Amino acid sequence: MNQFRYIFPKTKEEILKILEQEKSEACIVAGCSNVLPYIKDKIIPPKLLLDISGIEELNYIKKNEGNLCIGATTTISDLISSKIIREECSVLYQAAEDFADPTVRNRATIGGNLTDASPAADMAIPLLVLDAVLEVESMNGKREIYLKDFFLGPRKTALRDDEMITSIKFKNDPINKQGYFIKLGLRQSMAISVATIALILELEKNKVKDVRIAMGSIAPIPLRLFKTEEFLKSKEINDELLEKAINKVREEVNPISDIRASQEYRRYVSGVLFKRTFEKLTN
Amino acid sequence: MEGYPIELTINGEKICAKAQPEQSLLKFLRENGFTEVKCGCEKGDCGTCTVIMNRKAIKSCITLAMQANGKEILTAKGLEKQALGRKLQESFVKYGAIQCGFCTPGMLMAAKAYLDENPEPNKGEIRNAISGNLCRCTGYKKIVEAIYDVAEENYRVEGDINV
Amino acid sequence: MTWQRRIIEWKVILMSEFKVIGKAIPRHDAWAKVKGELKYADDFSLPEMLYAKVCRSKYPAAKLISVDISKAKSLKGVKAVLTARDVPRNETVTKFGQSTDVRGGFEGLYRVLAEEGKKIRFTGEPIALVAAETEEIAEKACSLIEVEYELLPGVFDPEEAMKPGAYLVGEKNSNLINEFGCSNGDIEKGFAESDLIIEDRFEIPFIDHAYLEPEAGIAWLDDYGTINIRVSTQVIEHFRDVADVLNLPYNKVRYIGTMIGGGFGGKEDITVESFLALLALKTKKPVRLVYTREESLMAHSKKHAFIEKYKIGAKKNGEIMALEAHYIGNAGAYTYLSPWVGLYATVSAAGPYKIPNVKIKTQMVLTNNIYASAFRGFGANQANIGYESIIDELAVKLKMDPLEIRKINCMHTGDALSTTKQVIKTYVALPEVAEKAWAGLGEPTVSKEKNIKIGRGLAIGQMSYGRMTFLRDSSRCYVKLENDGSLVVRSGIPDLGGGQASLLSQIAANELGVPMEKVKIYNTDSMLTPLAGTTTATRQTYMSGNAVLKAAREVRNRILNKAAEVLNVNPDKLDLISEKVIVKYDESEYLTLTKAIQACNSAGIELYSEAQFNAPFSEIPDLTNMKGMTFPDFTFGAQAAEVAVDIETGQVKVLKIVSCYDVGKALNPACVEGQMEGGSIQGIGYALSENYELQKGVPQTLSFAEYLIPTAMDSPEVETIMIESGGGLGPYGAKGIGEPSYNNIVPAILNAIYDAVGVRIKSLPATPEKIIRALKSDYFKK
Repeated sequence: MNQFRYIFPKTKEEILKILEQEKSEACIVAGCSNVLPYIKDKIIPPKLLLDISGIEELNYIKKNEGNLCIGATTTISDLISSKIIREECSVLYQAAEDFADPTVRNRATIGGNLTDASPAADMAIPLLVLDAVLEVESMNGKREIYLKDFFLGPRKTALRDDEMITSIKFKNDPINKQGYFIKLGLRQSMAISVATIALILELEKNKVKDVRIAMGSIAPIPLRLFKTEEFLKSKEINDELLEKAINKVREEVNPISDIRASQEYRRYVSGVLFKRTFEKLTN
Repeated sequence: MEGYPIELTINGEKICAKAQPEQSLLKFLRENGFTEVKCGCEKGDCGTCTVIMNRKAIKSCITLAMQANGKEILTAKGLEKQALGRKLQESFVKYGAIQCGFCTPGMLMAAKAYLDENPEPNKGEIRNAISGNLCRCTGYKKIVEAIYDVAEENYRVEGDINV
Repeated sequence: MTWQRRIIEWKVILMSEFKVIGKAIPRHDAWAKVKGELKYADDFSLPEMLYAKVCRSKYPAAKLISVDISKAKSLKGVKAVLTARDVPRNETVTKFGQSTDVRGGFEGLYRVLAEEGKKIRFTGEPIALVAAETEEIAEKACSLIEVEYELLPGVFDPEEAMKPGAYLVGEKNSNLINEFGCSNGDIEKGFAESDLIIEDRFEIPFIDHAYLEPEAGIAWLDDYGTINIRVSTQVIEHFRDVADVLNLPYNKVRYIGTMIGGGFGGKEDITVESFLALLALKTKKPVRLVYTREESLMAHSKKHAFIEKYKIGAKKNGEIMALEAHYIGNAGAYTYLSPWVGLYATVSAAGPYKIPNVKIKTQMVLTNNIYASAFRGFGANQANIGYESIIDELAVKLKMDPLEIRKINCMHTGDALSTTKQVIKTYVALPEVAEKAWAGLGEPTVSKEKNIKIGRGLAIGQMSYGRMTFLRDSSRCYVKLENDGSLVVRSGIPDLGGGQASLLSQIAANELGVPMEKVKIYNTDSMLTPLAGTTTATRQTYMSGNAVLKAAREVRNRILNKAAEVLNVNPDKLDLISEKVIVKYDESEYLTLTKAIQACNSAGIELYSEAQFNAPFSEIPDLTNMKGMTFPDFTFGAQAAEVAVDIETGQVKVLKIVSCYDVGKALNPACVEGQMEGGSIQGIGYALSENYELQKGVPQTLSFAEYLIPTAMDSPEVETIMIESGGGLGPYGAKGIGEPSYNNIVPAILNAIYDAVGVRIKSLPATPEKIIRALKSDYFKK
């Protein structure tokens, strides 16, 4: 194809049909906040721009059978204005508030941010600690992908070229309310993160009952820190534990050096972010 | 090059024109004479291209023109058609919130969309609302003051276009 | 004094409330801007217009072997592809808007396009030009141009570039552009007499102007074959340089300057104009060129990176005995304004201090980086970062308050600069500005969190306004009072958004008693408006302000003289207020302005005047040991900052800024405040986040996502304190504020960081990482 084309399907079935036909010649677009810069930079060559932003059934936030479900084209602004998100999974709410800037939040979608699969993907980090599952569809049917298995490398995902994410869901557990998110950037807005962290923590009699840690911009993909979580489980909370856990975090992350920060600084500050979120949730 | 016909409302008036599939809303607007929508970076990093689409402030450089089909757009030229818009313009002038003026149209749109939904912000909230709009000249102080002054009396009158 | 007289005096004072100087009145262009009606350089089209693109070098150092444009030329829709061979005069001398030819050393090579057989000097150097029917076709054509390079090693560090045997950037046999020296007293003796000596090295990076409007313009041939260029530029006098390039007489190239969407010195040199003119001449069609942001970041001039080696010696009581500074300015690929920046830095190196023994050396060096040229602050700024940091360190070591050490050493009225010994004849507001800025911070903020430490810093400095005095700078302005009492002002003044054009209207309105709504200024046309000189060097208030004042006063005198006849009073009893010629102290006697104009018309008295204002002149100083006047005057100021440093992440938040300057007279307080507020926030970027980074000549920050300037959330409210000493050389005693307002803030922040956490950042920007590496050096040693 040497020219771009555009199509605006009215139903999900139409989208799937087109994907089936076009495969990687189609490029799903919703908010376009990443797509247009990529087109400008010639990272995306001429394709069929498949605009899914008009499909009502992909834009929702609802509770369903003990799960919280978010449609793929829900915008970041939608997340912020949702009472459910604010009250039931504050870690996602906090991440949404720090995302890009208000005007970009009005357009960027949760599905788009995940599909873009930047190691810094601000939506991926809270969703990882929420143990999110992606509902993915194609003409051949539906399947579920655990978010922790979704990212394969920088800007590479487990999505096949005839598939699209339709929704993101996670268990609506009370533990989700005990979450904290920090984004470290070089500026207070419009900042690509140097490091981000989301932490969900459940305590029982001063011991760690359940802990989930995810970090961004410190590895080739958004990372769940399973080793550190394992280390923390069932342990008594004290200063010594915190010090050890900080070291574990620093060992587990795998950052690179880039224009924003060096590998060493990222590793160092990962420990700091962990300490802050942990202290916040244990006080 | 072929284009797709789209129909949209800009500043209260219906516009029918052709848009290229990969064309940004920014380029579409500028090519159709709406040069008040500025092009500062085309990557969504500066905010000079900010317009209001269906009541939300967006960066038109990272929105497809095709996605404006059937929508209502407000640019700086449409502000005078609404009381809040006029108030904002007056306030910016009164406070000296404009130097080179290049960020001004986008800044006004971000402010307008925000005040429409949040009639009584504090200065910190205003700063957050315009944090996607860069200004290199003013240091933002007079811009925030101008918006804050308007925030204290937000109103609509008959005959306003409703965007 | 009788009570009647007192009442009349009050009424006169009240009536003079209608005078406009000193009022924060809205600018004449404000409404056009908020309505979106003002057309910037890229908002203008002409029928049959073509779109231009520049094909640029991929490498920072290479020999250009060949350029094959055949494929590009044969692409459908392409109307012209030009290389250096097509440029009538591809190499000339850089000029900066003045008519004086300054001696060698202050001018450099202006090369329009890279030439086959010669060296390419920076990534992004222009090689070829394309004009096509659409931007897309022009872009495609550019990609079809085949360039053959012979890669060369290049040199990127200025210290490396000065070593014997270093790779030569240009055609000369040295990378050293020039060297400046300045000494007074006996530096060795000065250090011998010092109780404490400190040495430091500061490294300041290249930074970008980051104006929101990218470079843009359009050129066309008018009916008579004259090249017209409508462009966003700070200097319309470049029409001469473009004419040189085209081999045309100067009167056949016309510049129409648009409202500039931010300049800061980045639109001071020729940007798009030569390209546009060449393509318009070739295609005989209008041609438009606008840079992408990436192109702007890659290929327009930057602020000089500096290495500053300082050595300072002081007595125990705080008296500074000796200051030695060695500056190495990284000029990048071409000379441009580097010599001038070097001169400014040298003159500024000892700050506004009385130091008996001084030795300064400045070297400006070519490297294979993007060329550096004008940027707000122009060398004096970089010097200020060095001297205010080291003096702060001195204060710390001597256990002195930052204000105290400055009070002990600062200049006063009638003192001379410690470098060039230029005596400051106007009022020196020191230590006043420092005291007020420091006191303005108020009660210290108390940290509520254990990981946040709060600190305060102070910095003072002087910065010149008006160009170097050996340039014979001048400005012209025309004022005419129309028959109906409306006022016309004509001036070539480029308007950067700092209210340059508005100010002239304000002054004319003030002198002639006409309300602002009745003044119309026609500006920035190199052929149709009197040339006012460059909007650079903080010179317009001073130069054009005085020019319009002179012209307006000439018209005023004619009107008052005629009115004096009509009213049968002495002309010095008259004033022009609110469209009336009034007799002072007797409100019953007046003549309406229109009647007075009629009287003049009937008598054949013309009510227009074009006036020229000349800056004082001095010879070029001996550059090996600079002495004497180099600038007309200086603006003295201080900034104080309070910062909060997170000792775990290294992030710095600026909590408060107080900026205090002696502005002479605030002709329009809102404008002056705007400059001060804007300058301080721009300084936060310089101090904390801006770094135009190149790695071996390859730029790394080519978008605003990587090159970070402060957003509204990074900016505290700046408190501005204006001192109006009336001591300026500008109209009504005004001084310049454009560049001075950007001085002092960077070292104030750096000093505040030191105060907070004991870390002195000597290499900008003060990123969180740098601070943490200093605070947690043990961790990072592992």
